[in-house]
Amino acid sequence: MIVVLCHSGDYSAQWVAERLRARTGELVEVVLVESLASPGTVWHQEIRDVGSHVAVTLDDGRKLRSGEVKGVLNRMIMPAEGVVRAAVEGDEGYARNELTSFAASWLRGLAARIVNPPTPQGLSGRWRPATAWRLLALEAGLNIRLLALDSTEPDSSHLDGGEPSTTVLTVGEMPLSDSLPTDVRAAAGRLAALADTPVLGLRFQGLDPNASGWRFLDATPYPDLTLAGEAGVEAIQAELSA
Amino acid sequence: MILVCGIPSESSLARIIDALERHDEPHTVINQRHVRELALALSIDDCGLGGRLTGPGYEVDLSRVTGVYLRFMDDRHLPELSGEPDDSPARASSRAFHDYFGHWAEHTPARVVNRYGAMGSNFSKPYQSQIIQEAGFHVPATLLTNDPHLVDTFHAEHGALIYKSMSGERSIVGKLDLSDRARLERIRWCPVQFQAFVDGPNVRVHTVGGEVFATIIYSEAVDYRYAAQQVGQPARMAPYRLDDEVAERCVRLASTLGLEIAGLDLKFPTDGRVVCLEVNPSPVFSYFEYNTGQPIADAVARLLANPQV
Repeated sequence: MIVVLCHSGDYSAQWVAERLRARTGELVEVVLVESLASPGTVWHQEIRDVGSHVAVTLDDGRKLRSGEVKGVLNRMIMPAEGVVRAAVEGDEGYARNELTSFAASWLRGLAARIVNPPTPQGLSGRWRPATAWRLLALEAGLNIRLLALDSTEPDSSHLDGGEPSTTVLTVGEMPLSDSLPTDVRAAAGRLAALADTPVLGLRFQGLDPNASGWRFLDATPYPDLTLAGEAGVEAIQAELSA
Repeated sequence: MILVCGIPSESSLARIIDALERHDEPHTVINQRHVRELALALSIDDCGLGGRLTGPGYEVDLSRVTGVYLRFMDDRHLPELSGEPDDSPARASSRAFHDYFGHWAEHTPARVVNRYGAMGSNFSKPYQSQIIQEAGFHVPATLLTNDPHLVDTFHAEHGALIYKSMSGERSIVGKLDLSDRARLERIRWCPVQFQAFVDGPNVRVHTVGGEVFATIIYSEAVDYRYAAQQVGQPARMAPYRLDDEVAERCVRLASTLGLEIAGLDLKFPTDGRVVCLEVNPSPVFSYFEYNTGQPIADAVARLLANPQV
């Protein structure tokens, strides 16, 4: 069984689930994060000297058991908030932290292949600030958009959140775009390896990065999975089976 | 140049500053209480990462820094910023200073004790427990569930159980009273972490680079940190000689987690196992140093003075 764990609004993950079903003929279960908050969900994780065992019984009767789940396409960026709203006033933050901690634990124990695996810096892979991404990119050999920061003038607009950019999907250290020059392709692969994150969206400056010299801005562990079309699905399928 | 970052009156920081002074190691204390006078400029260009940190009476070229002891508190709670609205320029500047410093510390080639990225694993105790188990330590049998019947079954197998928070939020570890069924039913709202109670003495192991300092804790309390509350008298502590192989395993685990300094909580049950309860990435070692006389701050000072290879 392959599990695609995603939020209800994550249409690109649900599209990947459909395509995986069509390609593999394997059982592909879409599990919506929101459904996990249902009071009927029964959670069971045990951690012992021999390892971890996870069994989740969903409200609709489906069961997810480690050992039966071959791989998880993990797109959970935060746990469902339902329980947080039921917390005693003042304990909301504590409840949120408990749920996040639990999510990282059961996800880690659910399958041998989790793409992307949970990290302390993000449930669906490590989030990094633009500074960190650019330093990793330098190390990988990419050109970067230069960055200057001054704590006395903390204006984040220069972090390029809104400027026109082009995103390249990488899966398993493989950039999935035909337009990348050879040297940029190799460096982007090295960046994905350094980031230790199987699925990434690398953002380059400009709508035509060829014209702007493929200057790297930042990356996200939560990219639009449709970006590379069927090639992206194929790469994700390979990554889930690796 | 070594940077010591935090509030200098905080006990662990004070001991490190004292050790650096005794060893004549050049250092600058970045006193967080001077937050209104601290400024940091960072640049990332094709040559890499550069920066300049200024404070009252000093200016530091960050490329000359070889060691960092990083123990900033949550800047939102600094008394110097109390009364400031959430969106005030002073708060924005403080947040930016701490953010940028964290970014720099994550990527500088200097030795950083400890980097924030490495300190993350105990954000989730059961997540960390899986890493500890994979590193070859025994771990307490642990159940995470929202089903009271599973707790009953687990209890039947393991006997006495304790419960504690899953997150890094500090909580008092308590023994489970299964006779209080109404209270147990409340776990249906949110999964809770239960563990088989592990008997035997607690041993806190501090690893500082490759050096190891172990302390045995004598207390009847379930959570020795709260011994006075739980059993009416504080815990007693003494230096403890760890088996070489266990000491080496502790150093390896800290290294796996990317921690230059770590506080490992071990138990030595009567069945001969060595059980690791958790790894604290930001240990208040001064409490143990004060109670046992072990020179942990000196070891941290030596580590800071020893540039990363």
